[in-house]
Amino acid sequence: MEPSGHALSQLRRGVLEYCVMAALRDGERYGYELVAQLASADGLLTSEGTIYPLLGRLRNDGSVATTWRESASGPPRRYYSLTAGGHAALERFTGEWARFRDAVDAVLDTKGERS
Amino acid sequence: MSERRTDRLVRDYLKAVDAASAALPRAARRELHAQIEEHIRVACSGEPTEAEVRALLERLGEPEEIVAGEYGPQRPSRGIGAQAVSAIVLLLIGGFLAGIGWVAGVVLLWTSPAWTAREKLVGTLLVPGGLATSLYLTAAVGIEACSTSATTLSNGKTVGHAVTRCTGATTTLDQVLVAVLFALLILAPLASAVFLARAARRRLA
Repeated sequence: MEPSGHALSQLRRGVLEYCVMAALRDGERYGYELVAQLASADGLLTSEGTIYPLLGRLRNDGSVATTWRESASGPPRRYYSLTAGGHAALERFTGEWARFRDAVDAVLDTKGERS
Repeated sequence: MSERRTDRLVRDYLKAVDAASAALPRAARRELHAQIEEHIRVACSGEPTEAEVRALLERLGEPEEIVAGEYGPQRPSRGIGAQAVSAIVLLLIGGFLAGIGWVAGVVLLWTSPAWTAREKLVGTLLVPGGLATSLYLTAAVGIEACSTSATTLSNGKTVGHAVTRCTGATTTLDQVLVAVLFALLILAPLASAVFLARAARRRLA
C-alpha cells in the first residue's frame, strides 16, 4: 500500500502543474475558482493549498501570468492566466502524457492477464 | 462571539502558514500568505459557521504539507539550523575563548552543508580569529602608539625611533587612514557573519 501511495504522490506532484495550466487553458481564473475546479476532480488534490506555491513557481517560470482585478465584492483579486509559453508547454505535455499513459496502461494490462 | 472564533481560526492558520514557510525567500513567503488569505476571504464572503471555516482550512491542508509540496520537506527547526548558527557565532566571537572557539567554528563551518566552498573560504579568511583578532589588533596598535608617545617624554634612547612613529600617526591623513582601517577590521567579521547567515538561509530554504 505504501509504495503505491508514494508513486501516486510523486506522479501527482509531477502532473499537477499541467493540470493547473489546463484549468487555465480556456481563460483566466482567480485562485479560489481554480482550486475549486481542480478539487472537483477526484483524487487530484490532496490538499488544496498546494496549488498556491505551484502557481507562484509557474508565474516565475513565465508559464502563468498574474493580474489584479477588481471584484464585485471586496478587495481586488489575483487572476491567473496562461501565457503563450504556458500554452506551448501544456500542448507538448498533453501529447507526451497520452503516449505515457497508453504505454503504462498497456504494460499494466499485460501483467494483469498473465497472473 | 462565533464570528470572533472563526477570525481567530483563520489568523492562527495564517500564522502557521508563515511558520511553515519561514525558510522560503521573503517574496515567495509573502505571496503564499497573500494567496491563501485571499482564498479564505473569497470562500468566507458570506457568514460562515465555525464548522464551515474548519472544513475550509482542512481542505486547504496542513501548512507544512502545502510548503513541502513545492519546496520539499522543511527542516523541523525553523531557522537555519543549530550547526550553522553555532558556526557563525563561534567564528565571530569564539576567538575570545583562547582562540579555540574560533577553531571550533571553522570545523563546524567546513562540515556544514549550508555553504559552498567559496563561502566557507570567505568565512574562514574574514577574519581569522573573528572579532577577537580585530579588537586585539586595534588595541595593540592603539596601545603601542600611546606607549611610544609616553616613552618619548621619559626615555631619551628611544626618542628618535618613537618620534618617527608618532609623527607618522599624527598627521590627520594617517589618523583617518588608521581609523578607517580599524573600522574595517571591526566590520569585516560582522559582514562575514551576515554574509554566512544569508547564504545559509538561502541554501537551507
